[in-house]
Amino acid sequence: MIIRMKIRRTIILTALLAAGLTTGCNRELDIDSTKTVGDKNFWRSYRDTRAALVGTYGLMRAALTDNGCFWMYGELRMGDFTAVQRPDLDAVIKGKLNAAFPLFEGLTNWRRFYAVVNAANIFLEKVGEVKQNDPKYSDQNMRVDIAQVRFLRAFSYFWLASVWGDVPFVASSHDGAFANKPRTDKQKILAFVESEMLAAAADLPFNYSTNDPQQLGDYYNEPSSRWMGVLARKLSAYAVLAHVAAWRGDYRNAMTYSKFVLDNKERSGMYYEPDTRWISAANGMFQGHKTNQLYGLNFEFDYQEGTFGGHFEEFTLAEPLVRKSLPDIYVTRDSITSIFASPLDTRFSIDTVTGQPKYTDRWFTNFNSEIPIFCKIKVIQKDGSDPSFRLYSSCLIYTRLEEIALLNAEALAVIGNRAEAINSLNIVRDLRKVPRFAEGSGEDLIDAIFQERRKEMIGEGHRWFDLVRYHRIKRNNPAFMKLINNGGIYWPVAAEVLRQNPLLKQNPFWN
Amino acid sequence: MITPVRIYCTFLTVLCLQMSALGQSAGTKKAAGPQPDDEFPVGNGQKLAWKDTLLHKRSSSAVIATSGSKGRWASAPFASLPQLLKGNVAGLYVQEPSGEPGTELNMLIRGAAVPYTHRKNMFETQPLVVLDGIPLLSPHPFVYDIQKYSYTRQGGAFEMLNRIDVNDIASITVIKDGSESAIYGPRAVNGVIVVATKQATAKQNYIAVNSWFGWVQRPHVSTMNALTENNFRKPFYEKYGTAADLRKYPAFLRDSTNPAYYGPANWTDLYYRNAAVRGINASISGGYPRANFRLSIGNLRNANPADKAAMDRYTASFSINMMPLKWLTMSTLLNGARLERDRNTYLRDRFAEMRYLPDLVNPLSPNKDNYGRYRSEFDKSYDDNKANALAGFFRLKADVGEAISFTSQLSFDYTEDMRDMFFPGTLLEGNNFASNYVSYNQRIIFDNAAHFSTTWKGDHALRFDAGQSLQLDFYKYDYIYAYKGPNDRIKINQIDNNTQNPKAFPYQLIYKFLDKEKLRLSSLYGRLNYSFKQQVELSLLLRTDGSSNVQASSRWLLTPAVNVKWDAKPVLFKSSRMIDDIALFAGWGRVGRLLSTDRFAQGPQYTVDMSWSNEPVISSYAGISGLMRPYGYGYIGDGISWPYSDQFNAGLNVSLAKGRLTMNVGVYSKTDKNMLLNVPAYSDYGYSGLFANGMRVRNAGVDVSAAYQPLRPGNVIGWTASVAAGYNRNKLMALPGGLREITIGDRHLEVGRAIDQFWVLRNDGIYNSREEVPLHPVSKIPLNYRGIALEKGDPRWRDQNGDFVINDKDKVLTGHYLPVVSGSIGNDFTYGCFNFGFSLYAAFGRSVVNKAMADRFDFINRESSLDMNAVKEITFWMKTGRDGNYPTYNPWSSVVPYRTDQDLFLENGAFVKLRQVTIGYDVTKAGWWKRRKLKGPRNLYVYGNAANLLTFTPYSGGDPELVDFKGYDTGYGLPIPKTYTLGVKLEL
Repeated sequence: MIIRMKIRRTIILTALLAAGLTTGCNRELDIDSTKTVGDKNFWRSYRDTRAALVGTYGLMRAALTDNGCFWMYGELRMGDFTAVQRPDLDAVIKGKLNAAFPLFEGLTNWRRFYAVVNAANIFLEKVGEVKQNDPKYSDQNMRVDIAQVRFLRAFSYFWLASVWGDVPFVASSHDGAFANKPRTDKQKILAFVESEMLAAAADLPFNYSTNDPQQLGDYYNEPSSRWMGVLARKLSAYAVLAHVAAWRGDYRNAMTYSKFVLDNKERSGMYYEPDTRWISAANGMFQGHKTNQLYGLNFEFDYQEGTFGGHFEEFTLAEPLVRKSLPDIYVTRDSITSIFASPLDTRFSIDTVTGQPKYTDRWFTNFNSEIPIFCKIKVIQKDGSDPSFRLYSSCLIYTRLEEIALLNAEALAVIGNRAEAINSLNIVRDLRKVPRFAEGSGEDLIDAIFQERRKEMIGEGHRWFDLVRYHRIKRNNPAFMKLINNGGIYWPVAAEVLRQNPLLKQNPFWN
Repeated sequence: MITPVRIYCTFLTVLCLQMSALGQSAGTKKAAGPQPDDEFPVGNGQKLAWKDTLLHKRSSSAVIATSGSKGRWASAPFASLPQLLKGNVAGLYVQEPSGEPGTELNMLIRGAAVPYTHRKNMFETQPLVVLDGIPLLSPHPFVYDIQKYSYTRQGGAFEMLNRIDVNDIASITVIKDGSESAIYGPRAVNGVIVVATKQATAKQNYIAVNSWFGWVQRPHVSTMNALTENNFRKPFYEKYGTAADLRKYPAFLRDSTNPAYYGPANWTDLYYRNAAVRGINASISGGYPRANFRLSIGNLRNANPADKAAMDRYTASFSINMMPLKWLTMSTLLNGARLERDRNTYLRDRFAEMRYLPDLVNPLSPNKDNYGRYRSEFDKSYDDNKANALAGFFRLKADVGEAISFTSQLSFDYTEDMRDMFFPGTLLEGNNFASNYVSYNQRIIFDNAAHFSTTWKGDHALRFDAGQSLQLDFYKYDYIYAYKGPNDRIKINQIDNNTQNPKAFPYQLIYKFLDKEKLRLSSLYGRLNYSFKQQVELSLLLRTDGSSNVQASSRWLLTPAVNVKWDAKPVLFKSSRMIDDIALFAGWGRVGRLLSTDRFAQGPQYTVDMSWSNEPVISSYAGISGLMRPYGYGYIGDGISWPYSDQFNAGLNVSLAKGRLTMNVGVYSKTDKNMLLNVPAYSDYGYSGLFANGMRVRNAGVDVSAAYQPLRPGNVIGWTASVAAGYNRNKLMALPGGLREITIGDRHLEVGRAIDQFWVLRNDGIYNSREEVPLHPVSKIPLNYRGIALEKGDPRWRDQNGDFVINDKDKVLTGHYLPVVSGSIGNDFTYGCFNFGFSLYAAFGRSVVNKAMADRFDFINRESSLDMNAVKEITFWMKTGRDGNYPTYNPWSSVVPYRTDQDLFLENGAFVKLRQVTIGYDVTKAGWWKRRKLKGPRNLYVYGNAANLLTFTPYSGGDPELVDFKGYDTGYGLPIPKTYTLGVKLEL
């Protein structure tokens, strides 16, 4: 009896054990992560293309924002700003780009620009899958998406070529089968950029969700107010094209492209901004997303995209605008007075009677202290109404109409069309109440155009590239020509990048 | 998710304890099945010659029996298991980066297989702690992914091993050999610490109380004020400063009449204090042979003399064993704890939590009056840190005759960690800050096992165990922080339940995060044990594990382990009177290593990764979430497979001269293979790196522990001298993809070299003039640092490759941030009913970068920008280190002369510490007590203890133990306090 009971127990327990063993566990071991989407679950619907498209913009924003590099590359080097006490910024300003400060490890690393390129390549390779899987994804939607992605990829390459010169050319994602590539000649890169931009421009609408023939209906079911100044438009592409052409020295095309922008500005709802105060107002040109931001990358405060770092305000603002005793960089009083020499300039001018600055809330404030504050961009929190918290949400504006007008003037001047060049220059001079450029006044036209750019666009990341173009035109500064001819206008490549890719060599100037 | 119908299998670890508690015969115990620790004579009523010594038998696993109530172990005032073990087990290195009560500690058994490039890596090298058969959860480091600064882990950041009350521990077994730990599966890849709690005593009811109190002593520090700092900086300005530099002289040093900075530096009166500590634990056990129980409750307060930091712990443990049928045993355990922390008030940690830096021009004042005003503002803040832990099991064991038994167990572990904080606007330029963090982790384990054992002809014994288990882990956190509440009286960021709108804080400044991870581990194993005459023992283990974190194509890993033990005494030294016992053992085992996150199972994937430096949590553009490849995190491709560790070990155990000298020597070589590494690569595709298998790291070394009793046991005077020491070297054998070297941040890994080395330039002094800088013989270009010509006042760095450029190629790998040798020496004396003991804890062959000193000299760079480097704590006003050891470089130079990647600040970090001194008096043994023939107390013992008394070190900075995971002494970390306690133990 006892024995039989024992045997029965044994059988039962063994059976249970065996059941446990065989119903093993492979099924339980398949878990989808909540923080990532595996390839098998992506590129299924228009939501995926939207996420990937917006992600590419986000990567472009990250590339230009990291370490404030938009200004490090474009504004600081040999520009009008002086470092208060940060030795790393001082090194950037003086062009000692191989200095050993931690900042330079970030600035010399081009990884984030290639992330844009890679994301764009993946998009272009995979977007067809969505087209197949999702009937709601229309041809037109896809065409506009592709145009934007090509625009962003080309824009990222433009930055790569203008900051580092020759860079590796990667035209596909090589997903999972990466291979190191050598550098490609910058002219080839720039030619690619220009052709891609042109292709993108052809497909981009003038505006989104406004029944533009190239983009009918609400783009991704959002109204036009949502997209205004957020996505690349046809004119954005032409504006960047004008820059690409000018950088290549192809001023004829630069003229054509910039003229297209100026001629069609109304079709995108844009206008020259006559209100100088509005440009620098905390709730003005740089705040949020606006149609006059011809091409920019937004940081929407209301969407929690305001950040502590990566805005120009982080470097330039201080007491009394924010709670920070000294700015990192400033424009010296001597520079200000010599640059803004006209007593009528609405951006900054000295009252000839009182000797005091006329405007203390526009380009500069605290003029009378040893360290004036550059306050043209000051979107503190949402609209600057609360100075206590150094969170900024200003839009990173790559270009705006006034800038394109001056680029147009420059192109016209170089190709010898002085009359129209002067017209374009005077558009901006009129806006800012600076006396018109008059033929025969002895003023050099090229100098005048570049000086106007310097005044209008200070702090917007153009100064260094302007200087390069200026000296390429003028060819009268041997020191600068040496930089241009020896590759010194380009940045060194990060040691980390060189370690990873043995096919790359350091820019010889920095060896 | 959990299917209760299904029955899974188990192996048991401490069943023997229960069985013995139930008064079973030794024979039953033998049949009890695969208990990984049942080779060890623990808790089994085994007589221990000296209760505090380490025991080894036929294995190099160290067993510490704390069941004895006297001596050093039992009277240590240490709150946590790692602190208790520190230095006492050969091959186990415990590092305390801070003496702050309740903070995370690091344990390493036989070195680290993972190079430390981020704090996260620490979590990958911690051993598994098994509490009464329950493999305890360890925290998941995934919250680091959203942190802007990684100084401390978000949330309460508790050392969860504080949950175990030392008073409840019967024994601790540290399993170091892979061949032994393999039975615990992949979680055991870094070794196992098996904790057995005290069990019910069947025969009589039993009450035990241990109570102690004491204080931590305020340390002696020499303070300084702005005058000292001013004098320190003066030579730099005189030698290199320009008029412009002088104009930028810091405001707080400029005005020598300012009492805030030039007044008396007496901040220490507010910062340090003598603080009380205490502990009490009471337990009761009782019952009958077929049903018994034990209940224990305890409270402990641990404190640090600095910064009012403290921890409170409340513990409760309950176990019950029943035999409803003669062949069926039911056991249940519940072990819970609550921890509460009062944390430090470091500015750095506060700013890191807030992700925001105020203007830092004026540091905290060294003067008590000013500093006191700051502290009183700080006291208006709110910082509440709590953690709860509950582990338990329900276990059934069925004995089907003499030979076969089955066990079935459901066990769980649950931990939660909460932090609520609020900082008033007065601390941050008018911006207040509130944050709430809640995380919980849970583990549920189904275990089933079958055991079969038989003997024949008396000489041969065979045992076979087979089992299966399924472990379900879940990790989750919710974190929310918000800025700029309406005023400082509203300290809670309330959300309206209906509308989900915030009630007080602006919605644009409320940031929410949640993340969760699931990990499932399914295992099957079988083990065969054969022993001959109890002299030779052979065991063979085969197991297979499937992890949900590994991609389906390579999900299962088969791992074998073999063990041989030979008792050599009967064969070789049968007649020797000198040798009492000698055993030799050897083993080889393969153990899988779990992948840390569920991302790896996904293969190529899309995620949110559009942030930039210092803004880690950007997730949208134009308010729309974007998805992209994990560019910043690193590319994860297909084909990521299991890493595993191949571990070989051998050793011997000797007992000589009637037990006067016992010694255990273990040698090992463990090679971690196929390890996953984020290899920095493919920047040209946008990636920071690519996760690839293939790193191979070998750790090899020797562990020695010995105890010597010069006097015969049982004498009036007893003396035991013991030593435990571990020697460990690691070597990088291979990198993924056949790479020879890689650089990750400031870490450099080179095949053939150790993984824990510093990568630095050799410093040979200073160039006193430009003429001293050597010129390239051909080009006549002066020696330069990455293209910057060296000047007067720059360091004389050695140009290792002679190319007249100082760059990474001139850096050398040197030093180790992990010790080559660590261990302790103990001496314990008894005289009648007195005992006295002390222990020295030591680590050698480790180096420390004195970053605190480098920072002090690098004041120009540190003060120029508004970032974390510019933060000066109150401890800035403390004199440490020797200024005179360093040349006077030009601090303005763009080569950053006082950089930490040079050997100027690399120092020998060896130390010897007098860690513990104990004296005790056993009242119940005293003659005068015995004469009274009192019936009540079975045992009455009073003791005193002093801990962390002295440190001997060549290191010039502060405590060489207080370094971060990279071996940098950043000057942070509260002191490991001198603690004095008095206690009494009573058993009824």
